[in-house]
Amino acid sequence: MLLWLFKRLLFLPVTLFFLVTISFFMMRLAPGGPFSQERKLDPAIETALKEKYHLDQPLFDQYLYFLKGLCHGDLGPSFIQKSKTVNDIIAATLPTSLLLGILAMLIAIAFGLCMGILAALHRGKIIDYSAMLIAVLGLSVPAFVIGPLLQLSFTMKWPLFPTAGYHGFSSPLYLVLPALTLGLPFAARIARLSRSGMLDVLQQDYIKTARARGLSEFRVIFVHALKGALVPVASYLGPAIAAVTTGSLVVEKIFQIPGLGREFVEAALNRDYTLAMGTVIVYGTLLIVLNLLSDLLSAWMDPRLRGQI
Amino acid sequence: MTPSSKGISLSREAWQRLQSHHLAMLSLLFIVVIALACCLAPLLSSIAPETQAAWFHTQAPFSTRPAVKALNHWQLGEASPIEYQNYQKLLIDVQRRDYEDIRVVKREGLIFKIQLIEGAMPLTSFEINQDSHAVYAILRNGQIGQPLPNMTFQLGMIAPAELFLAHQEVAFLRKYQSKNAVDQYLIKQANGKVVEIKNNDQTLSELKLKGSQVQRIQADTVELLITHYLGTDELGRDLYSRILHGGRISILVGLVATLVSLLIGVSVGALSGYLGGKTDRLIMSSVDILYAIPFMFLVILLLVNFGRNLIMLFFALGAVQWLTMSRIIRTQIMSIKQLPYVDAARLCGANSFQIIFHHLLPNCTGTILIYTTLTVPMVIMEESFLSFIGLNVQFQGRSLDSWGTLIFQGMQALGSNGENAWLLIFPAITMGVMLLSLNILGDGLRDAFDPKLRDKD
Repeated sequence: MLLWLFKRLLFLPVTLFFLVTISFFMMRLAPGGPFSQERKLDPAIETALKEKYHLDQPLFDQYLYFLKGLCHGDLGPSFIQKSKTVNDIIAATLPTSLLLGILAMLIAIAFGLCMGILAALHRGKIIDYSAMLIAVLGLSVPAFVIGPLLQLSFTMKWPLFPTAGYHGFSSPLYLVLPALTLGLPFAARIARLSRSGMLDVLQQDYIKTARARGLSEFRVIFVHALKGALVPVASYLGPAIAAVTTGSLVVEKIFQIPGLGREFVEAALNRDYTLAMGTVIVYGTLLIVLNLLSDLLSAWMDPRLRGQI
Repeated sequence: MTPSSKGISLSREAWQRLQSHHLAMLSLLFIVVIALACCLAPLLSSIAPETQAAWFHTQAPFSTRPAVKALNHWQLGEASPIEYQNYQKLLIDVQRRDYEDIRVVKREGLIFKIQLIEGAMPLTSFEINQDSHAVYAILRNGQIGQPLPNMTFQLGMIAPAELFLAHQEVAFLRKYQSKNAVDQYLIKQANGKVVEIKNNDQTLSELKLKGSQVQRIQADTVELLITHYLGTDELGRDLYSRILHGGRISILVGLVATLVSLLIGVSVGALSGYLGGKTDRLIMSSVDILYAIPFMFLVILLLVNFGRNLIMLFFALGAVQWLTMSRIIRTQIMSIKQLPYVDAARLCGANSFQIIFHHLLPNCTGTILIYTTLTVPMVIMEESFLSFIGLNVQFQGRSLDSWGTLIFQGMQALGSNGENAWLLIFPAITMGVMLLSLNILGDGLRDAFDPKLRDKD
């Protein structure tokens, strides 16, 4: 177990290094750059700009320079949003994205577990079928379809929520639709996972034993069987977080939320090298760490998994 | 041996089991119908998806317009535009240009203001007399509505109800100087060439008409009309045609990228599972590392930096999806390779290549089929996701609009009250039904190939 943890922790910098290297060379080897726009810059200014951002040096030196900055936690200045550093931009936008992501995950877990457990307990009945149909629907319809449809329904036809924007906790109504949009596909996945996990457990001998010993049905389900529903969900959290971050790219676009996802899309489209790299690194680190936590969580919940890892 | 006890192949049995799964069969039907419709798009829609009719703007489903181009030109003795060459006689109604627009404002039920729009000149009274001129209401979309009856009104008088559209405080009227709102042109043709152009009694040598001017075109007593079954977007492009053609892109990307992921995933998975040992550990560790990389971000960077062409997209999306495939195949191969028939094959002198491709992989067909069915919707979703954030595929400088693009444009064109909702809803429904059907079919296939898995996820 400790060895496994050690190995995984060793993987972390290796994966990050891969990520940084791939994305660095992918951005730099392409023709064009942040200063090659339709309006030609004065050659003198362009040279000065390139010198300032070290773009005049050989690519490999730039790479080493970037790695050096990264080791000090400095992601460099933004090429497009002048006078701001990438660290500033990330510090300003990451909390928004995190808040949204956490809300979405909470919604997904709450909805998903309820649906999955209900379906498992009523296996083969109408509740089961309808819950699973809703779940397949939620899996099939991507966030960029749910989002605009929710917007159309609940801000235009029945104006219950504001259309778009973000004002933090001061007006939480703005957060409802984005969090729902982001969370629903994962609610669907969690519902399916928890249903199958629960069904697995309900057939186990120890549940029969618990029933035979005269425990109340409530105790059997919520104390003994629930854990079975939670284990697959716990191991799914890692991939789910990856998908939530990708989903946030569109949700932030649909609902005009000033988050990190929107910054990334803008930066990528404008060839803002450092900002795009910075966002990828932040997302990558988040993902790797959370994946690790998710694996630890499932190993803690299900001792059988400990042998495997 | 009686016929009933004859053995049937695994796939045959799975197919029989699938047939009893009604929802999955219904999904299969939907998939086939949508995919066929998209393949046959040029036959099913007479309008090309990129044909613009900018003057027509955003129009609701089932609206019709005269079948004319943005610019139409007839000249005596010359060939007629190709669309009209088969007709002997064309009768064209053209909206007259000798009109003035008037604005009438109502306040508390009384006429508050009458104003010529040009120069904002105020009037005190206004007369409608159908014997000398014609007056029409202008609808909110800028088109001409009903002709108005004879009446006279002036400032301060109770506003006549027929002037105003429901719930409107302001009415716009269009007054033509003559009795007719339209000019009629007659074009006679022979053998595809123009022989005569007439306007009332005047003979002309050429006629140039903009699409926006033409109100009606009759060819040999048949009215030439285009019906937009699902409406049009703000450039007057036909949504029905765009959905069908967009589906071709989405489905093509879905299939090819899945194939790419299949090739990589199956080879890596099979190799890793078959060889086992150190190689296996090395490959699976790399897969683990790759798993933690946020691939969609890299795909975005790749497309932005190295061009948004189809080939790039196929490989980029295929490269995202192969990881899971390789893991699944590896597990499968590892359990199959211990079976005695593999040893038997090896004893007969089969080499590793033959064992993998002739003896092991055919036994994974079910798994591969199931996972392929589930990968296609994922890839379609990813491609649409990329289109949605503005990275749609381009081909020869033209952007190829997939379902994701249509949904994005539909969202942008919703209007303040969602009055153009169809532009979002139709593409969303088409794509939703396709993805849902693929997912249900995938689940159904899994149950059919291995009933033990019915309640697994």
